[in-house]
Amino acid sequence: MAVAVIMPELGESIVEGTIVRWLKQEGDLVKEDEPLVEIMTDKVNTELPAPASGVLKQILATAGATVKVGQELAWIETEARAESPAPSGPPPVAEVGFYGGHEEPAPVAPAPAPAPAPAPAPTPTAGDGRTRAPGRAFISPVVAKIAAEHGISQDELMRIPGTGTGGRVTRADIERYIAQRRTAPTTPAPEPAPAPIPTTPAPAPVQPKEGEEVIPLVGMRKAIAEHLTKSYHTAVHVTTVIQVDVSRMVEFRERNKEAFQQQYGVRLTYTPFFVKAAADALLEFPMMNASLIDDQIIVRHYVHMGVAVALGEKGEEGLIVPVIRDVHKKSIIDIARDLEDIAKRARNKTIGVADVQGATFTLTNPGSYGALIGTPIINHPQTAILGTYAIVKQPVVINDMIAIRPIMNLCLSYDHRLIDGMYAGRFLQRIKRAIEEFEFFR
Amino acid sequence: MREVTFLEAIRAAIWEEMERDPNVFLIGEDIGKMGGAFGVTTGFQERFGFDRVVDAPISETAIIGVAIGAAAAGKRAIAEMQFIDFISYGFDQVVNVAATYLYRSGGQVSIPIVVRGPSGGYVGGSLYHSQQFEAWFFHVPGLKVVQPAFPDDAYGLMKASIRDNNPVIFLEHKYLYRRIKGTIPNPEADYIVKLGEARIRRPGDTLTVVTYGAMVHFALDAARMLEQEGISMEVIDLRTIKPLDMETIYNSVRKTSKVLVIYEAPRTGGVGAEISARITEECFEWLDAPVMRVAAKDSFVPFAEPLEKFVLPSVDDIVYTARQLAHY
Repeated sequence: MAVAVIMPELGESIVEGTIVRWLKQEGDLVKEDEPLVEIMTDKVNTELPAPASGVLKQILATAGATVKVGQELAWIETEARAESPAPSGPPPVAEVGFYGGHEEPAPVAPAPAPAPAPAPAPTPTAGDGRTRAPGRAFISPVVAKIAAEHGISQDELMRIPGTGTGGRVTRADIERYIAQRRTAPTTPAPEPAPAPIPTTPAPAPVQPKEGEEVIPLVGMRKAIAEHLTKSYHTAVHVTTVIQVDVSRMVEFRERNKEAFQQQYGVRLTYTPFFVKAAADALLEFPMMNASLIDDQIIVRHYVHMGVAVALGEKGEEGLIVPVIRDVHKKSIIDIARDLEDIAKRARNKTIGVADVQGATFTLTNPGSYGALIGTPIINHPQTAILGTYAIVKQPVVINDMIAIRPIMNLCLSYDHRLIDGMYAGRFLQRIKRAIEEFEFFR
Repeated sequence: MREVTFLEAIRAAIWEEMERDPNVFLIGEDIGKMGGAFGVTTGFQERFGFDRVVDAPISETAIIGVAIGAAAAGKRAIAEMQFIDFISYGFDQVVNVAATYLYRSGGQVSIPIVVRGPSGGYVGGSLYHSQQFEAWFFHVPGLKVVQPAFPDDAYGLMKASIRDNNPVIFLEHKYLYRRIKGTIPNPEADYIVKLGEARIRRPGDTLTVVTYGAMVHFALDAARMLEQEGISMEVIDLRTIKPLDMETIYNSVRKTSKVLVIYEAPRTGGVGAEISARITEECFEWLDAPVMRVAAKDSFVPFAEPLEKFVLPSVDDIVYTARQLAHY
């Protein structure tokens, strides 16, 4: 029976994705739920699991192709049974000694596939019919042991060309690699070039002029580019700015940061307070927490907050927006823990699609790199994004007296189709009040 | 050196041990005048007399029981099961009496008996003449279990089994009786194959095959085929199933990191399951693939030839699984 691999709905805003690479090739054995294909979507790359066990019979969408949700990506033949994936060599013959050559029952005719299908591909099975297929990512005990003995890191291990099933690094592979490394100590070990990620259609090549270089737009950068373009072209962006006196917050942090770290094991930053203040305000201003999709307004009475995390020392590795769920129910401490966790996972790249999906509102913190004011772009299909900017000591007038206070700009970009100026202003006032009065622990 | 069949090797070993030690005697159904169902003891009664070659009634309980009693009194008994399938009638005598005797007597009384008989399938023998019963006895402390694959081993192991002071279950694969020929040393050499030592019948480095009995020959056939594909199988012939020579297995596993265990008995609860478990316990860090098995299906051995072929392991099955393992 042939089972289609369908491009799934990977998130409410995602209508299409790009095939980064196939982790299995045509003819390879695949196991149900085993990673099959890497798909680039909403700012992260995800691995789509196989819907069934069998043989990857035909790939319909090759690397670089843009695929829509619901589109067929490949076919898996689930009952094919043939030879094991021996690269060459004669098949077993019937006239071997003793009782060789038992005849296999004729394979069940596969259900007609809509596309012209090649002959049933090999399906190696164990003696009892179980299928076996480790993936590229599987590290066997002996390979792990050898890697540890030779100080080969996980990253380095993953760059060793694998000849096992699914590109798995076998004992022979790692031993060959170590031998080569030893014989050529001055030159770095050969690393296979990463699989090129062609785009469709391939853009006309640009000839770089003197002092220029041409970098193809791929991966996360491409996803960000497309996402922001879509957002910017869809929502009617307006930005409103409000100034907040953060004296109490700064003072609180100064006074409690060490105790907080000791007591809860988490670093106390300002961000949990912004998240909490915004979440409380969003419950009171639900339209700010809504989405306008196909002439319908989806209003949420819960808050999943996306928090932008820049990657790389200079932010050169892009940005992702992991989600903290149900922040309206969480304490400052919970939020602080969640933030630390997502920041860590974002940086060591263990964030999955689920971690960046489903945000109802986004918080961004350009203040962390000293920005004073800005106009963030909404994270489509959300309705608003709140930017927290640098805290700067300023002379301010209080009760007709001039005082020096730490001041921060809160910049709210919102979709003017749904939100009018006054609603946005009241929303910002609500956050401002929460931060200034600072009654989070009362 | 003598050129003999597998059966003749066993026959020679028993004959020579009876010549050497007057305490050795035989008991079994039709083993005297008829020489046994397969002719292993043809001519023995004429040479050694009625007292040492005893035709027994059709009662495996009695045959094994008499052997045990005689052994307790100082004899060395060789009890023949006409087909090893019928050992089940004497099961209690083997597992509850013979196996436990030394323990029960506080180490005072050992039971030097060999319960031997034709074992295994591939001859159209159907369900009561085709079974491999090693797993049943493998499970019991106090027993040794032997199954050779080549004439020299059959010869040397039979001599060792007769001289061993413990009860030994000696399985003679009937498919090998007349098909497999080889040379054995002359009687003067006093050639013994120690129990509990495996033998590497073919060296290789892609994967390790652990097997015994007729499956050794199947594995060697498969190895010859796979060699053309660059798959080099190391074939370990256990020879003695209990006690297991795990060191030979572990050494090979450390070399190849991939293991295929083959046995002719039904898959579930087979000797290969124990071997697989021990390898994962002791050599986990050396494995580059799961330990895999080829065994009979969990079924009886059917009479119809195509069905017998389907149920029992074939060379194809071995080639197929070995390839998978090689390419894992």
